[in-house]
Amino acid sequence: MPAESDALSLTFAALADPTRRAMLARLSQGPATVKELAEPFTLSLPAISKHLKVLERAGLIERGREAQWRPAQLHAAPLKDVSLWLERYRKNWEESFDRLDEYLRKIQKEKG
Amino acid sequence: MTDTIADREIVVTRLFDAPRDLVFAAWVEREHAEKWWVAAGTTTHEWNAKPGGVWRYSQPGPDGAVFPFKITFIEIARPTRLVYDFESDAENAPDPVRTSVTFEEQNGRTRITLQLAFATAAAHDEAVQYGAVGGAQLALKSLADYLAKS
Repeated sequence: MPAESDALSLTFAALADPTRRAMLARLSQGPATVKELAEPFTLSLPAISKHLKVLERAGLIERGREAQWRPAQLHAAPLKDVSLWLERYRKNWEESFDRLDEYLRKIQKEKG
Repeated sequence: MTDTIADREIVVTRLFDAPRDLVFAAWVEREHAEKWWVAAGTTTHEWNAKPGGVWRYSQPGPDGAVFPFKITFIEIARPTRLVYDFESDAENAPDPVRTSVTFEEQNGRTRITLQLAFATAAAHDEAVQYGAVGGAQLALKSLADYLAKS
C-alpha cells in the first residue's frame, strides 16, 4: 500500500469514532486538557486518554510536555489530506460533467 | 453528531440543457459513453451495460502509462436512475466506489445528481471505512472555520 493511503487509513480510522470527532471539534476551539475533554462525555479519564492516543498516532493532535496537564491541541494537516483526497473525486466529476455538457450540445446540434 | 448516509457521500450535481432520455442514453450506450465518460485515447475491452454487466477499459495516463478500470453496472432504471461500482482493474486495487446517478426533468432540461459512496465491497473494512469517510466529512464540517484560519 502506498504511504499516502496508509496515512489516510490511519486518519480515517481515527475519525471513524463519534467521540473522537467530538473531541476534535472541541479542540478546534483551542487546546484542552484531558479533564476538559472528558467533561461532555460519560467516559472515564482512561477511556478519554485512549481516544487521545488514537488521535495522536494519526497525527491529528499534538500534546504538551507537562506531565500533569498535557494539554492537547489540534493538528489539522491530516484533515487537509483527507479533504484533498475527497476533493480529487469531486474535481474529476466536475471535469467529466464539462465533457458531457459539451458532448450533449454537439450531438443535439448535429441532429439539428 | 449523527451518521446519516448523506454524510458518507460526495454529491456532485449539475443541470444539463438536453432532454432526459438523451442524457440517460449518454451513460448507458457505448457509442455515447466512450465520447465523454472516459478520457480521449481510452480503449474499451468489454462493454455490457446490463445489471451485473461490466465495462472494462484502459485509460492512458499523462506519462504514457496505461490504467485499467472496471465499471460494474448494478441498476439501470431508464431514464431515472443508474447505479454502478467503479474500481481499478489492477491487482490489489482498493475497494470499488459505489456511484448512484439520478436524472430529473426540469423544464425540458435534466438535472444529474451523482453520489459517490466509498468502500461498499470488503465487508471487514466496511464499518471502519464507511464511518470514516462520513466522520472525515463531519469533522471537516465542524473544523471548516479552523482550517480557513490556519
